[in-house]
Amino acid sequence: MAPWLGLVSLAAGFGFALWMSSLDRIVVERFEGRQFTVPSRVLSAPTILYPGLDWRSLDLRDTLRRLGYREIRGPGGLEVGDYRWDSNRVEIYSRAFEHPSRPEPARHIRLRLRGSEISEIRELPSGRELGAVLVEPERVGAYYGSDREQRDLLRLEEAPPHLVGAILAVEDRRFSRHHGIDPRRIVGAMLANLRAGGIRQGGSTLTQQLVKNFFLTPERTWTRKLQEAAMALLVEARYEKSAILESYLNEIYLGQRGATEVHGFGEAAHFYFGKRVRDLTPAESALLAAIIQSPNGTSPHRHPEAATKRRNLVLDLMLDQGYLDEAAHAQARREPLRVSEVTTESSNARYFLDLLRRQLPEVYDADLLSADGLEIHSTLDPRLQRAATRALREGLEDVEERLGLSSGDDRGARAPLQGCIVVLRPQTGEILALVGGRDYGSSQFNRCVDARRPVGSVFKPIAFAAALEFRGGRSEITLADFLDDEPLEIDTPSGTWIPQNYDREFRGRVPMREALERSLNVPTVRLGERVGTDRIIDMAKRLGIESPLPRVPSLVLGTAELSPLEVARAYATLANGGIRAWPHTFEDIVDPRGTTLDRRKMRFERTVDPGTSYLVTSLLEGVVERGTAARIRSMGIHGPVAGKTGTSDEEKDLWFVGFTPEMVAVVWAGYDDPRSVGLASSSVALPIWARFVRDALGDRIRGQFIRPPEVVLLEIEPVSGALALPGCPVRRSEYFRVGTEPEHRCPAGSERPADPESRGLWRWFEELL
Amino acid sequence: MTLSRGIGKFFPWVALLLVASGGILVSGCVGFATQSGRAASPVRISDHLYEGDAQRRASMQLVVAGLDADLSGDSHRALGQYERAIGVDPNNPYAYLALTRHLAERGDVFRASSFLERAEILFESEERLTPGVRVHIKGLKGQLGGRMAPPRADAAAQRAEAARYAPDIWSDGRLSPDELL
Repeated sequence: MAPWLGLVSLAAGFGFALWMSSLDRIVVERFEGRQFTVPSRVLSAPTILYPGLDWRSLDLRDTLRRLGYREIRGPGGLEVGDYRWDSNRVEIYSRAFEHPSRPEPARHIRLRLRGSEISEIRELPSGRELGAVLVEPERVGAYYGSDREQRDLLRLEEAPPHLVGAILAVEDRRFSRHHGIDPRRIVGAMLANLRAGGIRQGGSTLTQQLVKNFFLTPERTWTRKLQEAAMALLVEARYEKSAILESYLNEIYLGQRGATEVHGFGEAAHFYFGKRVRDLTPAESALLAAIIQSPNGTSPHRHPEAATKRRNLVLDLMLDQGYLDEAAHAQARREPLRVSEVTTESSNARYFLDLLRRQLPEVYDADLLSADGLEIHSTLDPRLQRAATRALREGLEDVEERLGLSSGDDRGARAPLQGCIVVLRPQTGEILALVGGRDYGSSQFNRCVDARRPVGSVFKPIAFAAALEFRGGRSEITLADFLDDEPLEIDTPSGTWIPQNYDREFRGRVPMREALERSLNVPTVRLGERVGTDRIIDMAKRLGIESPLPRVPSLVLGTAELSPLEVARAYATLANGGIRAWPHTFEDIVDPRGTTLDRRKMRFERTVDPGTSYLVTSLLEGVVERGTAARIRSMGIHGPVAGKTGTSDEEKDLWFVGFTPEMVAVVWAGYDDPRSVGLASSSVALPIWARFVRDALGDRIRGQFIRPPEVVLLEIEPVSGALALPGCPVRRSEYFRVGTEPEHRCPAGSERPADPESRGLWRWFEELL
Repeated sequence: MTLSRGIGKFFPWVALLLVASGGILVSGCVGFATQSGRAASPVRISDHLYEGDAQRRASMQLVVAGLDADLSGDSHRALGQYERAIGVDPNNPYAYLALTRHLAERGDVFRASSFLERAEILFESEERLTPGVRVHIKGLKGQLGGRMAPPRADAAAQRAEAARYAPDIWSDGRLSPDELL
């Protein structure tokens, strides 16, 4: 028997060694490879508070809530991440903004509110008045892997002693003494479970819990338990206690934010308290330790009483085991449960995130983004993004209601009415907001970026820009010129083309302004013929159009198929006085060690002269004042706005491009499978634009379009276009580039210049004398 | 009698015109002096902190924070503050001026030139293109022009002109953060 027994023992020993060796390989691979995958986060642009800011339109209270700030009611001091909102003042203890090149300290500030305005900002306790304060950026999204785990990696030395104490007190009091498994704890748990008549208590050490989370499935079988114990022993044999504890702090599951799992204490501190780990109080540390056992069953959001009870139990254990003294224990037990509201990541920026991902350098592939824990500081303005999302959704629903379609559907199997909005800051090229469709969940196709659709009359200003440009000491036309609105036939390789106006009427001789303000097709085609397609294409390219443009006479009427982002880029160049800024979605990328990996540089180039840009802007202001976009004024938007409607053939594509001195926004609406919407752009795209702007900027637009010195304002006689001098009976103001002023005068033979900016003074002298 | 009555009738207006002409003459002389001589006091950001609307004032505070950061040698932070200043008020000419100075110091000639052009247009449109502003624009043009490849022919003359108007600042051919602050 003995030799057989020996052989069996040898075989078993060999098998055991093989098994242990395979487990050891798994342990080493995990511990010495990449331990954690940390999804890269995308942060918005920071919010800047300053006296005079409209806190209501900023949605300040909601912003604080989304950032995980905790509202404190009643008296008492604030901690980092807290705020208190009284009727006319707000106290905020802002968090530090950690950024390698643009850090901001944590600040205790008090805002005084007057109506909807912030009237004063003071730093506490010094009382020093502040001109501008930065609130950290919002998290707008993350690039997750398949597991959808979110964590904020933490080093052991960053964890306060009371957090480590709380975890050890409740989960593994003999952690420093055992070797991976704790027989005393196992026996104790077994006895407790026997007494309770079921499994009430676990006997797992921290190491076992880590092993279970790292390597094993949650099933409760003997073989899995055996594997867990063996691996725990291996981990302890190979690694320091401090390394094991640090891994535990980062791995353990601690709750659920929507579809995303919260792992580790770094992320949990932010999720439950809106804080970094180092700012936790002993009571907060105890609460986090308390929920390890059952993060959802003792969730402080859903079960505050159960969570408080278990927190107090942990505090008692901490006192018993010497992690807290009497005074700290008593104070922590008195501390009310204060947790941040649950804020799930909004899905409204998903189209933006898709574009951002495409704009990242190639090295940032999907694997790296879902694992390396980068921080991407984006250009997204969350307030504008929310306003754009809302405006598009509500605007399209309104249209569907008018058309008698049910929301998001057209009573058939065909795709619903779609739309997109893209918003740029023309001076810098920052993409402030982008909504590529009405619902990312049902369609990820980014219409702002990837759709190429006929732009209709949105293209016309490009032809006007080409005509107004000063070349070889002259312009093709001036704004005092006229265009013929009479029947026209053009021979093309595919036959005779007879352009028509929208209303199929002809008006004879029309001023340049009127041609664009009323979006007349025939005069614009004549203008295009005069300027030439090549020059128009050249102008389009310089403004920022990159799609191929057909060399056909109908180009000026918008037969080119462009993306909304391209259109925004071209109009942004006009809005920026002829300086083209390259659109971008991010500022920089920072790795978890705080090193800036990539920083984009604002890229600019003067591609169009400021005079031409201003003259076209002035024409587009006229479109809003008197032309096809006059509805903007009746919708209650005041101040400097320039814009252009565009409707493609059979009303398949409805566009509106509008800009203010500080922002360009493009709206497109239509069906993905091009078919007629049955309405003009002025009653679909324009109201969406107006809804967005009113929500985002209020009803009074700030600033002014900047007139360069080479453009002067003169008075002309409207019928002849002659320079109107004193004695000329009818007049209107018009802009001219210096050197292109009308040669004819009204009345003929007059000499005195009639610059309206000097006329007031002259008239005063005339009247005086 | 008729003549004196006539003069009497027009006297208040004639007197008013004479006073006005005198005023114009004096202000013209002062203007000339500031244009051509050393009376031009170069613009300082801190003198304009409380001008304009809320957005402008906040933006100016950020410009000051940027200049402070530049002074303490924290170039990255300074750049961030200037960009934020433009974000708050995209048409703040002082922000572009400060950013131009920052980039010019770092040899980023191409971008600095774009910002300087923008600053000049904005100053002009706000009717703030005073001799005190012009001197910095001229100096910065000279500084940038000297670094272009090939250097611009008028760069040295522009620097010399800036140095003549504001020798305390531009004699070394550059504008330091404290000189703009």
